[in-house]
Amino acid sequence: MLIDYRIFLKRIRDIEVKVVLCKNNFHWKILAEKFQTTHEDIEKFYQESEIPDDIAETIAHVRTLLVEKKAELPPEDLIV
Amino acid sequence: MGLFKKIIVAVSDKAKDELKEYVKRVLEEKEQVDNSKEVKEKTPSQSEKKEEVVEQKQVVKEAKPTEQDEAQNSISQMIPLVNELPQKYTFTTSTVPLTRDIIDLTQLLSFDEFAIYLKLYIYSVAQRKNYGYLGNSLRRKTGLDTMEHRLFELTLLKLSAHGLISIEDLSSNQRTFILYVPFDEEFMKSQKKKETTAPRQEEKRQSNNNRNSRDRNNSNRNNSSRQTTNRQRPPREKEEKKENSQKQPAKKQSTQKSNKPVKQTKNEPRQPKQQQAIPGRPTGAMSDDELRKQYITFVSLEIDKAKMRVGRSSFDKIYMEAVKYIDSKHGFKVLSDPDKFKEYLTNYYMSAFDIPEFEEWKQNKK
Repeated sequence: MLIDYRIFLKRIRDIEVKVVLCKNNFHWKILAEKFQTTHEDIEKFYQESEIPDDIAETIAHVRTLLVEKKAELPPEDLIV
Repeated sequence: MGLFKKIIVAVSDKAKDELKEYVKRVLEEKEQVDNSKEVKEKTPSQSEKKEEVVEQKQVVKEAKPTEQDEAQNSISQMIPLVNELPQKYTFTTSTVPLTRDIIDLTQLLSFDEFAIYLKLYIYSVAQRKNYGYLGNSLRRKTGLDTMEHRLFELTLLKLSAHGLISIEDLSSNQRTFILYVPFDEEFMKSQKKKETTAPRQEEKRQSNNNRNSRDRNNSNRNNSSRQTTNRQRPPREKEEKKENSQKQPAKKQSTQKSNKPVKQTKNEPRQPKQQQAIPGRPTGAMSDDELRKQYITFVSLEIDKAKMRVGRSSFDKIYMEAVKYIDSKHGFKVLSDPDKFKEYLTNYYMSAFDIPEFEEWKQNKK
């Protein structure tokens, strides 16, 4: 259980570090997909019990970071 | 002795003064002579320069006539393409209306300005819109690609200064233009009436032709019926058959003639629709797909305009807000899905910059 907790936390924090270094939309997209998969994995793992506070906080933090990064990156062409 | 000495001193002083005056005079004379010599020396150099300048001018004068002569020779060597005198024509303005306003305007323009304006005007009438992207494709289509880039840009600037064209920079590479077209509504209405009345007259003529052909057919039928009644006379039958055989091609021809105009009558109503196209106004025959495409370009142009109007930094801020808004409203998955994200982003921009929606835009255009 403790090992899983640490693994999840590490996975999310890796994404956090990579988001800071992200420079293009393609890289961002990969990170976003990674974040989604890890988030889903965590939700699956903690289905019965609540998600630990540390992990929940880091998930929220990484999500905001990703959104901010998306906003900072140059926008793609528009479709009506 | 004292008196004698005084006399000697006085005489010597006088002599000294006279000597001084003499020396002064001599020196002054010498200076004058030198000055005069210098002046004389200077004046000939200037005159020499003048002579050189005159020589140069003569050379230039000699050179100019040669260029002119060459030009004259080249013109004289050119073969006249048209020997007839130019005649006055009235333009049929159904395709490209050259209104009085345009003529008055273009008369005032210089050659290059006139050429570019008229070419763009013709292009815009053909395209049924007086706006579009200003790029190499436009220059190629209008035949202005052979023109020097600098000259083209300069004349565009002049035209914009005249108020005949407005150019907007969308980005460093993209530019749009809106050509001034004096829209004479009464003139266009009169043209419309002419176009609508002309097909009707043609239809009437064709219907008359059809009637005549039918009458002919009926008369032929009557003849044939008469021929059937006279079967009892065998020798005549052959003659009649021959006559019929001679008439049949005529009938065929008549029927062919009668059929052809009917086809034309079916096709004719399409012509006025095409001719009704007026520059600056949408055609009624446009399909929804075409309108959609137009709307897409309209929205993208409007967003670009807003970008220019608002400025890069504030537009980036708006984009950031849009991303946050989409994340909060539609979820994080939408951000990673490019198609959906673009859709929501354009919707956000449309609401932010008050860009009309498709139906509204369609109604306004009509």
